[in-house]
Amino acid sequence: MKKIYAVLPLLALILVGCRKTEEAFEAGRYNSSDFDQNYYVEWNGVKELEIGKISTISNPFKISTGIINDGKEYGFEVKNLIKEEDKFSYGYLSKLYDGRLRCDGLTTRSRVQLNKTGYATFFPKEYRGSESFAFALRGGTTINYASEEARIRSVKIDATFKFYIRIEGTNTYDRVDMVFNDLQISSDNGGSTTYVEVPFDEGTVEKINGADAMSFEYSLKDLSQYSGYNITDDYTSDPNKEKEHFSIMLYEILFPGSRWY
Amino acid sequence: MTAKKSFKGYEGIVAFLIFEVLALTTFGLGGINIVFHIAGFLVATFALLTSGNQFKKGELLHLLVFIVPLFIFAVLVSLAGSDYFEGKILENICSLLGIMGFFFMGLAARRNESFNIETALICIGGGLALLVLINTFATWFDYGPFYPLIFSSKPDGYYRGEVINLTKEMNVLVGLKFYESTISYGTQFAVLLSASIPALFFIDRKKETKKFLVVALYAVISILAIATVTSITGIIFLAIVLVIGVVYKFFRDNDLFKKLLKWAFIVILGLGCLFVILVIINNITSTSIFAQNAFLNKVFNTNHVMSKINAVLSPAFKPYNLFGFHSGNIDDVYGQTYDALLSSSGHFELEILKEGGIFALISLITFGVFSFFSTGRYLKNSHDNSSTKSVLLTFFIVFVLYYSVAFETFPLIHVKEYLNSFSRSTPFMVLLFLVGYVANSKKIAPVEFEKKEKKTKDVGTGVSAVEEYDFSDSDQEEKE
Repeated sequence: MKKIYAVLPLLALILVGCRKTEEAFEAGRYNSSDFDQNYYVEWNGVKELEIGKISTISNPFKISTGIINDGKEYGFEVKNLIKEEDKFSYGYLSKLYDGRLRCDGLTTRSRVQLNKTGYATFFPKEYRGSESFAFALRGGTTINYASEEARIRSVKIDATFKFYIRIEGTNTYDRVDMVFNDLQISSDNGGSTTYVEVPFDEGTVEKINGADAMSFEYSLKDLSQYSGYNITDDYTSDPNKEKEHFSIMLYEILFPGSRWY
Repeated sequence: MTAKKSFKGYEGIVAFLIFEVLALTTFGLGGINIVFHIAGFLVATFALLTSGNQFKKGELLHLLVFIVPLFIFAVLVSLAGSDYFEGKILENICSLLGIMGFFFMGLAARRNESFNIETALICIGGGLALLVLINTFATWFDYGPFYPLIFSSKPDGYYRGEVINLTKEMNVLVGLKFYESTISYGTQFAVLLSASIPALFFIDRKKETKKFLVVALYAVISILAIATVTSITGIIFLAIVLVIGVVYKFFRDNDLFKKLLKWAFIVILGLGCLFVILVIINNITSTSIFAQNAFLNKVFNTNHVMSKINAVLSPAFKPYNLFGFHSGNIDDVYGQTYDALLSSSGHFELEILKEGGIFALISLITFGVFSFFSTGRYLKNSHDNSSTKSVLLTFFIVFVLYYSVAFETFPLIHVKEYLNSFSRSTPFMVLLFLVGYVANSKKIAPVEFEKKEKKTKDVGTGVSAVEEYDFSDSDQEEKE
């Protein structure tokens, strides 16, 4: 019987393992010519977290935005998360950490396409501060791309990034919501991508220090302004595809100068 | 007092050091092969000083048939300055010392009274088993057992934003860190370890229980490792190992079988040589001689295997590549040499071309031919028991075959620049040691010690090893 116990740690090792294959996809997943097939809608267990205190950082006022057109200003040599912590190299969301900040001709291969329900993920390590928080994104629609005058080149969205900080010794998480109201972003406008950077002061770093997970949600503002188009930011509400669909193409999440433990 | 006399009496220590070096070398630590090259050379020097007087008169002269081609090979792959090793002076010198050192260590070990080949094989197996076990557990932890089968319909994963095929990689220990490697690279250690399986046919389970259990453990580890990463090549090699074991157990004294095997070998070798000559002619001519015929063109040019071979052979006969591949030559208009250096040919013979050039390959083939006949004489005449002989024979066959079809030059999937040099790899060092151990000349038998004559009856044949050994007879046979 004792010999059986000796094998238990090995079995446990195998059962808790499979880290790399726990996220395995059939060939070509998220890389379809059908717009609706490419949505990434996973919350990776974050939705089930027990939430404690919620605090909000509204419209962080030192936002600096830029349109990335030529890749020089915010090119591939940025301080991406993979460079700062190798554990960000694995998984589908490594697309968001690889330094490819804009449409680089690889279309679906470099971006994560999001419905208004957004996505969430656990970090591979615990966040322990950074100089700033930044992200690169643009809008994308099913509107015929070939008709030049029909393109929606810019849209306004409300976006919320939520950070989840585990309260020590418990299974409860405090949540810090970083809200961006009326954020003007580039949409179907060639390769233009909007880059948003929020410099962190000590107070902000302190607020989200120890974050284990983050999520992102958004909603498209002023739907009426897109005259001539019946458009929705929730493809699930329109299974028969009677409307044009809008999604966020998220290219990058950055925490320049970050520390992870 | 001469050096030989001053080291006399240290045979036990030397034998111990040889076991240590072998175990550590087979366990390996990825990129620090240089340490094992130095260790092998130092222990070989010490071993030669203690056992040097055991060489028969004129024996070393006869052993030159091994030493000279091996030395030429070692000089070319170490010092000719292929782009792979350019500027790495210390590493290059250590490579030369390591290649010669491990071979001489094998020669000296056979003449060391305290050395026991069975213990050495257990050490080699132990090092391999430990490495295989670590790699297997690490792979299970990240991928789970049998993942290539389980995830065959969902093979895609992501690494640094790029799609990867999870079913074609596994974890291996390189240095002190785990990396994702190709399955054929990761499985090589398990395949080499599987060479222990034929010994199970010869060890008496009741009389030699401990030895049987150790070898059985090695066999189980190798089978488990190959099966759980579902390596098709590995499974084929397990079958080959079993066939070798069965043949050696039941047919080695069957004259008809031996005759059939001999002729089959001659025919295969003849056809192989003809094919190689045609392939070489096809590559040294300015345009392919087979391009006009659709079938021959498919066989010699436009298939997945041959295109890789041609990519290396084509620039191999250019004057600037005769002593190892050197890119950047003004005559290399299309950058063929550079492309060949960056490609993984899959065959160790072609890697030798890249590392040391055509003369290095010829030297190694010469060394291999003498080793082949030497192994034949060893199997026939040595006092070593059948389990040892079966393991050595299997190891040699498996080593040459596996690296001929599944050698990986750049095996780490996410660290593209990591070079797995054949001539500097630790398995090659172990092979050289074992070849050194079996090396003998046609005329002069190696010293056999009296203690070996006290051997128990050979379990495999039921004939005592002493009775089996009759060197003068075999010599006569060879003359006939």
